[in-house]
Amino acid sequence: MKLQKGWRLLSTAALVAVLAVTGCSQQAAPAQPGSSGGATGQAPQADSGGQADMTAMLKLNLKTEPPSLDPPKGFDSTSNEVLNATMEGLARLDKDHKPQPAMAEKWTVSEDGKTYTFTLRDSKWSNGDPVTAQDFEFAFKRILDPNNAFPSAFLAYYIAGAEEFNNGKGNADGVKVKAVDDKTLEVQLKAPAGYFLHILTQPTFFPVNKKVAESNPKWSENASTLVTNGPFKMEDWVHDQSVQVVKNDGYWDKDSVKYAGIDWVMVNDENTQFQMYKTGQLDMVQTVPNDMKKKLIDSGEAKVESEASIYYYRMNTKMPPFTNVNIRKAFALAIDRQTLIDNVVQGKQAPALAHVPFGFPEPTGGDFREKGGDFIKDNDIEQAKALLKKGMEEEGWTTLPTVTMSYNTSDAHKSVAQVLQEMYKKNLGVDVKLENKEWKVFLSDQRARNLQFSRSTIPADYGDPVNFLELFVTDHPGNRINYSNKEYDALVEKIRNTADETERFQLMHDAEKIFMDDMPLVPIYFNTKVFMDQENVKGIIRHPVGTLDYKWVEIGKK
Amino acid sequence: MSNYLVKRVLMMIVTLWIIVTLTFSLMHAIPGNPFASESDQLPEQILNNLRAKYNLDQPLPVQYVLYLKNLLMFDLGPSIKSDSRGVNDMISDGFGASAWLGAQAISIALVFGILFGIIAALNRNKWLDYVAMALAVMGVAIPSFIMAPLLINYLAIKVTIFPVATWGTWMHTVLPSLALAFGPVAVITRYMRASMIEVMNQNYIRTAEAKGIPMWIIVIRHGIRNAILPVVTFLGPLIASLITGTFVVEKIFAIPGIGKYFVDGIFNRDYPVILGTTIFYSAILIVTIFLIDIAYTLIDPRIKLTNKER
Repeated sequence: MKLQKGWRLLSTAALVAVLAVTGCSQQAAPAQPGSSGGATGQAPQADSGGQADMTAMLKLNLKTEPPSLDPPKGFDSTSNEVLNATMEGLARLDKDHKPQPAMAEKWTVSEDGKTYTFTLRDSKWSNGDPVTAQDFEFAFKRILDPNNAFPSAFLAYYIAGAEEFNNGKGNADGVKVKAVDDKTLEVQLKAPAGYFLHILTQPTFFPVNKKVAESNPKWSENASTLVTNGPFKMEDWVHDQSVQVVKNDGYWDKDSVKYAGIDWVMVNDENTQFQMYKTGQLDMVQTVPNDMKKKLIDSGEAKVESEASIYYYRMNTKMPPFTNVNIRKAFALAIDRQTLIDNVVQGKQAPALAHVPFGFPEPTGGDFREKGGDFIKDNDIEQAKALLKKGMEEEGWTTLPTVTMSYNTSDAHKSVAQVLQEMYKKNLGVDVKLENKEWKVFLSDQRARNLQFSRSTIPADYGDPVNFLELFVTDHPGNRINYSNKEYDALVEKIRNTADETERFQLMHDAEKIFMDDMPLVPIYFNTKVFMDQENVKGIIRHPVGTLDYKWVEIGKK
Repeated sequence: MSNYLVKRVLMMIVTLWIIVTLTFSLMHAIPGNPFASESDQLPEQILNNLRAKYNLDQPLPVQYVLYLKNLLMFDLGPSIKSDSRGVNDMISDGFGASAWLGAQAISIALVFGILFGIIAALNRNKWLDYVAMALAVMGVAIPSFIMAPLLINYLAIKVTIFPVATWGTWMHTVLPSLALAFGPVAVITRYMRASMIEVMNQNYIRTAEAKGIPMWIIVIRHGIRNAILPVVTFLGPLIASLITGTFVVEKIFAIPGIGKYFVDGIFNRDYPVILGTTIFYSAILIVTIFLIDIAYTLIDPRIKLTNKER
C-alpha cells in the first residue's frame, strides 16, 4: 500500500519533471531564418566607400504568408512583392515608373492601337527551359479560364475575347493571344488602351512555364516546385515563417543584379518590425509605428514617397441631405485637411482637392494631378457656410437631416472621423454622428449602397487615371453611392475607346471636372508611403502604382 | 472501466458534432463574405466563379452535408484566403511551434506557480507571502501584449541576450514562453496558496508534525498531493488554450503557430479556417479534460470515475 502510494507520488512528480525537461532541454533546430540575417550579411568591417557587396543578402519583412505565388491568383501586395522579385513579364517598370522591355526585347503597336506584337529575348526559366511565346499564350489564357476563378482576371478584359471566355460565354480559342512562333507573341485588344503596357507589368501577366504547370497543378505551392524566370529564384519557403530567394543566373539581365538574394521573414507586428530594424535584423521597413511617425519623419530617419491612392468620404447621392449638390459641396469645403494631416495622420500626405491622385504621368510630360490642378480650396469655411445655406433653402429644410459618418473599426480611421466631426460642428454647425463597423460588414453595407457618409481608401489597380474615374460610372460596383451622371458615363466610355493619348488625357481631365462639379466625395488626402532604408541599402524602387522592385538594389559593405 | 471509456468517447464525438453544427450556422449568420475586398474591380462573374470553386453557391444544408462528409475523412477543406495550403496543412505546419511554446509555458507556470504558492502558504502573512501575492496580482493584471514588448525591450534590445522575434533556435522560444507563462504562473500561485493553507491546517498534517517528520517531507508527501487538485482542474483548459497558440504573443514574436488563424479566419470570413480551428481546439479541449479526469483518480484515490465503482 505504502509502495503504491509512493509510486503514484513519484509518477505525479515525474509527469511534472518530464514536462519541464522536454520543455527546456531539447534544442529545436529547424532552419535558421532571420536569426542573425545569415553570415553573409555580416561582412567584416572594410571601409569600401559604398561598394556593392555581391555576396550580401537583403533582409526584408513580408509581414504575412503570401496568399499565393501563382501569378494571377495572389493579387495582393504580399504575393506580388515576392513575384516581382522572382518573375518577370513582357515589360518591367523602370526607375521613372515607365514600362520598359523585359522578357520582350521589343514590341510594335498597330496604327489603331489594338494589336501588340512582342518579340521575346533569350532568357531561361530557373529549371533551364527557354522562356517562349507559348508560355505567355498559355499564361494569358489561363488567367481567364473560369475554372481557375482568378480574382485578377478582370485585368485581362482588355484583350479581345477575354471577357467572354471568363464569363463562360466564349472559349480559350476566342481569346486573341497568339504565339506566332517561339519568340513572337501577338495580342489583340478589344479597344485601344494606352496603358496596356503598364498593365502588363503587373504580376497577373507574368508567364507560366507551360510544361511545369500542366504536369503539376500544385507547382506554385512550394519552393521545390516553383519555376520562375525573374532576377531571383526560389531557394526556400517555410510557410508562415520565411521565404528565401537567390540570384537567378539564367536571367537575361543578371549583370544588373548586384547582390546574392533576399531573406524575407514574416513579422506581422509593427513594433516588433521596428525593433528588428533598429537592431539591424531588417534592411528596410515599409511602415513605421503610428505614434513614432512624426518623430521619425522630422528627424529624417524615415522617408516619405507619394503613392497613387486617395482617402475620402463618400456621400450617398440618394440619401438626404446629400441629394443636394450644394450641401455636398459644403461638406467638402468645410474641413481643414492640412490641420488633419499635420496633427492626426502625420505622414506628410497631400491635401486632396481633386479626385485623381498624384502618380500618373501625362503623355506630354508632367503629372496628371499637377496639370489638372485643384478644384476646391482647403478649409474654405465662408463658402461652405453659404453653400449649406443655399442648399437648405433649395430643399426647403429648416433643420438638416441627420448625417452619420461610417468607418471600419480601427484607431486610425476613428481619429480621422472624430476630427472631421469636430470640424463640421465648428465650421458648419452640423452635428454629425459617428458609427463604426467591422471591416467585412462595413464593406458589404457600403457596396449595397446602404451607407450615407462612409470612408474609403482607394489605391490604383493599374497605372492610369481612368482607374479612378471609371469607379463612378452608374453601374460600376465601385460606385457605392448611387452617383449617376449620363454625361460622365458617356465620357468614360469615350475615354475607353480613344487611341490618341493626348486626346484621351484631355477627356479624362474633362471627366474629372464634371465629377468635381457634382462633388459626391469629400476628398481628404492623397496617400504616402512612410518607410526606412538602412544607410547601406540603395536602389529599392517604390512605384506610385505597382509593386516594390528590388532588382536594382545595391547593398554597401559595412 | 471500458464501458466508461466507450461512453466517454461517444459523448466526445456528439459534443464535437454539436460544436461543428453551431459554428457552421453561426459563422454563416455573420454578415459579410470572404470575397469582399477593397478592390472594386471584381466583376460579378469572377465572384460567381470564386463562389462556385468553394461550393459557396450551394444551399447551406448542402454545404453542411458536404463539410461533414469531408470531416469524416479528416479533411478540413481548403483555405479561401490562402491558395497554397489547405486547413489541414495550416494546422499541421503551425501546431508544432504553438505546442512547443505552450508546453514550455505550462512547465514554467507549473514549476513556479506551485513553488510560489507553497512558499506563500508556508509564510502566510509574512513578507515572502506579500511578495508572492504582489507578483500574482501583477501577473493577472498585466496583459501579454504589454508583457511581450517589455520583455523584448529589456532582454532583446537593452541587453541583447535573446533575439527580438522570429523562429528558429531554442533561444527564439524563451521570450515568448515567458510572456505566455506570466499569467498562468500568477493564477496557479493563487490557487496553490489558498488550497495549501487549507491543507496545512488539517489534522493529519498536525499528526505528522507531532510524529516528528521533517517539515519538507510533510509538505511534499502530504501537503502538495492534497493541495494540487484545484491546480489540476485549472490545468485542463490551460493546456488546451496554450498549446493551440495565442494570437497576441504569436503575432508580437512572429511565431509560425496556429494562434493567428483563430482570429484571422473570422476577419477574412474564411469559413473552412473558422470551422477547422474551432474543431481542432474543441477536440484538444475535450481530450484534455478527459485526461484530467483520469489524472484526478491517480492523484486522489478517493475520486472514482463511475458511480458504479463507488
